[in-house]
Amino acid sequence: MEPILGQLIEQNQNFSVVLDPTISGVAAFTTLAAAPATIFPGTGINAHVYAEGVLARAIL
Amino acid sequence: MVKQNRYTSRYTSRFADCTEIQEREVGRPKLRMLRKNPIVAGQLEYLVQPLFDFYGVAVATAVTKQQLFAQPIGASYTPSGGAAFVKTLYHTNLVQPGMLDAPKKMLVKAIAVILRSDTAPQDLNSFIGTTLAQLFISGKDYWTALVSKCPAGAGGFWSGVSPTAATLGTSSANGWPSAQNVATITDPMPQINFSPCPQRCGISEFSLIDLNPETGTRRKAATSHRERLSERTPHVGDATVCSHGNWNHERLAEMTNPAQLSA
Repeated sequence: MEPILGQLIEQNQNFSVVLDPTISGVAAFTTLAAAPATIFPGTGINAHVYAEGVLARAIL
Repeated sequence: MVKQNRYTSRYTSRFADCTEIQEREVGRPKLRMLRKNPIVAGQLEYLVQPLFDFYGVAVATAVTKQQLFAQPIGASYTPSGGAAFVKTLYHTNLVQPGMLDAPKKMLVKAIAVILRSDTAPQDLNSFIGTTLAQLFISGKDYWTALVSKCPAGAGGFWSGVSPTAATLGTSSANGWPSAQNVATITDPMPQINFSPCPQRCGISEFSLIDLNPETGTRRKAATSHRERLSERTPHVGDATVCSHGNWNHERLAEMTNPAQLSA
């Protein structure tokens, strides 16, 4: 069996990462407000999705 | 320019070793180099460089499903409940919508979801516990997991100090905040004809993945167990392979004992 080294994204291949917080079986949660009654102020969700790996590019 | 042979004659000029330039090259001795295409055809260089994109939801807003890597730098993006802005390199390093620009390729080894450290702990817990992350390539899904599994720490990490409520300081992260804490989707294994070392040119193979099962690895293994990619692999010969794993650097393994090779 060939080893799995990762998932290759070739040229002109569409790719994406989908983040879906709406299918957990309950209603999608609502982020905290900026000035809540509790001591934790909400800042919303600011996330980055990283596809870690090896990039191959032209030699310039 | 003409390179002269310094050993042509013993009577040649003492400047014979110098490069002779032609009249049209005066003032621009590197003319020929300028005419060449700087792109090396058929070869790519490899570097450890992730692709990333941004997901945003404003405060007091219901979270939504979003497809990332759809819009490149310069495109407009509107976070759920927020104001639209033009994406910069902070948000993504994609320059074409939905795909890599030619001739780039990418060997994805891990998916990591990084939340900004000022995320409220309730929002952090809700997001990583109820959000599903899926990697799609050409319409097929190759990785599906909770965000709490990306990184592999599988859970939020939050720390804070509160001498008084007014001086509360907090920090939150998706998993233990360590650079090695990512959900790799590959394991250390023999790898042939591929040099994914940082800043290193790969000149041996155009393909990222070697698919020749007959290439011998003969990696040193436990007693009475040989590790070959194929039974057709010969039992003798040289034996040096590269394995690449969670450490993102090259390791060498060698097979030295013929008895184990033929076991």
